Amino acid sequence: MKGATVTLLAVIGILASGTSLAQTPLIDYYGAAWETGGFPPSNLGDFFFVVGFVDGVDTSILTWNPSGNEYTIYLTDFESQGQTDDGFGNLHVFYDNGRVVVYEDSTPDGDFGSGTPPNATSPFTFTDGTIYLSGVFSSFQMYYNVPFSLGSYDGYFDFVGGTHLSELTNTDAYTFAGTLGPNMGPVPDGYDLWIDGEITLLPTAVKEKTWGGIKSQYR
Amino acid sequence: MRRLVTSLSVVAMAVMAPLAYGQPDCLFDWYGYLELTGPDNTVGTGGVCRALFDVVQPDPCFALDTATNEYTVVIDNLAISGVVPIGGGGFQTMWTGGSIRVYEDPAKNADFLVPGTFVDGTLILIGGPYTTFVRFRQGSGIGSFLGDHGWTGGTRVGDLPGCQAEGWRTFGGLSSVVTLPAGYAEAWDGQFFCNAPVAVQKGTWGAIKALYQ
Repeated sequence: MKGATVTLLAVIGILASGTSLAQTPLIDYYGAAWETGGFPPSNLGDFFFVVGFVDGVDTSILTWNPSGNEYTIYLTDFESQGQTDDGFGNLHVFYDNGRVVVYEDSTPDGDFGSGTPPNATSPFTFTDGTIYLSGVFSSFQMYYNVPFSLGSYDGYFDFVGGTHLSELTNTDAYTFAGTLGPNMGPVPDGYDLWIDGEITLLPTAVKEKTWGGIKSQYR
Repeated sequence: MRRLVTSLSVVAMAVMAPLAYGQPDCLFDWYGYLELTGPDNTVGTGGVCRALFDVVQPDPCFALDTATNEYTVVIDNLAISGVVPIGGGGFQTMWTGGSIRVYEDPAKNADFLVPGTFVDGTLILIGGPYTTFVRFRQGSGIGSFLGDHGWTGGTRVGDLPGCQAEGWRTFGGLSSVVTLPAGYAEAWDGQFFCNAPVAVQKGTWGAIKALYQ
């Protein structure tokens, strides 16, 4: 019975956290991306970047003021490990060492500009203001179908900084996005991809505990 | 197999013509989830996407009052019409049909576990069917989707600038890795955007030749 009770509490904990996390992404964003040397191809040593706008947050977790501020996102320093081609027109790329930064800026000046960044306005109009949240990636990959100019990326990271870090109950996070190439989407001049994606928090992992350990929390 | 994959891709690409390059004339960003009515990657299986417009609209071609209303999206009557395996255990699926409805609702009651909360309020936009719709789903559980459509009705269809009946594209990313509401197969994060087709311009043969000299 004691073992069953501990298991039941753990299950309830998982269900409760899963439901609250399941409906709204922590951060919703869209933007544009480029890779040094162009994309595709993605060659070993190329670097991948995204600049964009945050147009939604989960207000049950984060506070924000979209009427007074612009919120921008910057994914940076993703180093390509080179692409593989599955022979069906699909490319797969792993990237190392990426970071994500979300900025809160009272001057709404985000501008993709013209020409591959760095250009006259990008990325600096996406990296001004205060750091709202920042994170460091442990993994990041992209798939891209060349005939359709359509792909996706995802990655796991930890939130490590920012003025709103304390609002997070968990710092383990995940992002995914769709990617769309030129002539199929509104890719700004000089960029390689149009992006639409989101960041979600990962559920808190189940941790093993003894019955005595749980009881001691309620004394 | 590669010849078949190439053929299907070429056929699909033939009806997904490139749009005008550059910034969209109109863009609505949203997030939601896909519910499947049967096994995935199976011809005949249907899909329903329920979503919410983001609070901050990136390029509001007509005013959205997100302080007062929530804006819900339902894309239904989609059905898988073709399945092509791709590398790494993934699939490319082609879909037919698709009706798109956007509601404006001051009740702000959208709950992915209660489908009726996505079809209440005022029906402001009606769109579809898709002329083509493709979804890539990788073996790892992530992917993307892309489809072409127009808007044909709703109380505010007349507010859309320029492109109305045609020239719209649905695009986004998907993932089954995230925590999903019960009954849903994937998270879909997407957008509707429009680039008005470049108008045909009259010119003389001599003027055209001069462009290439």
